[in-house]
Amino acid sequence: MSDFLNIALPKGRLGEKVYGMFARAGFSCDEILRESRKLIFEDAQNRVRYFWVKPSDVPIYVERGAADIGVAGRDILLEYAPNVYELCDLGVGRCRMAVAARRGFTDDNARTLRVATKFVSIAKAHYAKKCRDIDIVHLNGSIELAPILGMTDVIVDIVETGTTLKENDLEVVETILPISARLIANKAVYQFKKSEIDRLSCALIAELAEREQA
Amino acid sequence: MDYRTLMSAEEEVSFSLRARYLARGFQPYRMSKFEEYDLYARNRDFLVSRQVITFTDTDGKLMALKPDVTLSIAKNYDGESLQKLYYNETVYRPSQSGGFCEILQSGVECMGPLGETQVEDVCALAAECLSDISENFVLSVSDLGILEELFSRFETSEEMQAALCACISTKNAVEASRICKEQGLSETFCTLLIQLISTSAPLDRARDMLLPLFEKAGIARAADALSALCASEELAAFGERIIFDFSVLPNRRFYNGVVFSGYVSGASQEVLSGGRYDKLMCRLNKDAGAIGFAVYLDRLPPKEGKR
Repeated sequence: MSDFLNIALPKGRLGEKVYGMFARAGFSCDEILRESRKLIFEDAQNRVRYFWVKPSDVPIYVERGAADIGVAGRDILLEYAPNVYELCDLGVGRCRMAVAARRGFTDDNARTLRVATKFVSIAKAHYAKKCRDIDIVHLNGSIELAPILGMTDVIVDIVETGTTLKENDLEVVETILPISARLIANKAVYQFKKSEIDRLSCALIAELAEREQA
Repeated sequence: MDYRTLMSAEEEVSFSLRARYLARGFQPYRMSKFEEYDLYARNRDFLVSRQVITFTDTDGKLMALKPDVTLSIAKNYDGESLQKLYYNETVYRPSQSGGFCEILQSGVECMGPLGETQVEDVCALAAECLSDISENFVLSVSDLGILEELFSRFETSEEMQAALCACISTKNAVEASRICKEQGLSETFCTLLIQLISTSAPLDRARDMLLPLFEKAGIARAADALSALCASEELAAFGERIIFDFSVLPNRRFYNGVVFSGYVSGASQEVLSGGRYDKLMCRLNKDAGAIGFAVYLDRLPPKEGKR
């Protein structure tokens, strides 16, 4: 087993923000900040290796051991339930999973509720708890279109500021759960790289605590 | 000629494990590739996956290609004396990449009137098997009795227990804490639970950290369970290779008492899992205790001399 810590970061703004946190915790890798088409970045001094990954693929890399640890949103972890440890909340990428519908919508409990979503497992679990009969329409993007065009009654999707909903005459009717970025670890690798992983996790928790106090 | 150089990793380990099993008095158990599907249909939650390959036999019976070995051995236990059995069998399960595959599995089952000696014997054998696979191994051990007593002492509902178990098995202290606050569970419970989730340490260190918290929470049997694990001289000989880790949490409907998972450097998943499963025996109407483990030979890291 390599003594480098292999870290999968989600591509995009969240990944760049998280890298900053990791660097402050002592796991910097300057190479990653340079403009490049490289996929893997290594820092021999800090014994760390990073790679940029499609956000929804981070848990797969970690579960399969290609990455020792990674950062993924709670939405992805709940949706795909990868067999990984979820070690801490980074306190970034905060948003919520919510049910949204056209303004003024009221749920007619007498008929099957049509739900458009990218998050099929989360939607099913949410409505199963309420014993509500639903018809799921699985979409991969522009979920907001579904109720606007009358294809579905509601959507289950991530909501940040709510601007997209507002501009399309939609509104949140129910919050399902809060979402944020989480540090995840491969269960097997954790047994052998515990000290480095715990050191990073503690540093991230401390930074979050500082931010929340400030 | 050294025939070991011609063997695959699975073959070499399989022979070495067999020697370990025999040295501890386990006898070979051979079984048919097929089993009546009904056995798995009635015990689906025990299986790694609910998907099973089935076919109709020539006599019209619905049969299955075995997805599991323990259920067959437990079903055939004659209910009289202590039986110590080992096996090397192929099971059929869905693979991670989709579709079914054959998996070579080796393991042991010890059934009958079980005492601490047999439990210690099987746990030590598990550690020995891991050491044959790699010098760099970890056997993570827990005791479900601790969890059951904790849940019972603080009167948690089944729904809450299920939610908390999901947090425990993924070391998700954040979510566990949120559930405790939301459900209004006591500070003592919450503190102990978070400490248990965060603890992953050699047995004696884990005992020193947790015993004061168990005493404060009034869960004496949990303290006894952990102390029993620490008292084992055989396990102590493995030093820091054996750790207490509360995240080892198989299905509580079948398992009770000591449970464990084994890891070796270079493998991306556990290569060994097992524990005490008296509850499964009870479901099969067997008046006996049982403990065992399986080694997943398809998960071994690539052969590089001694791994």
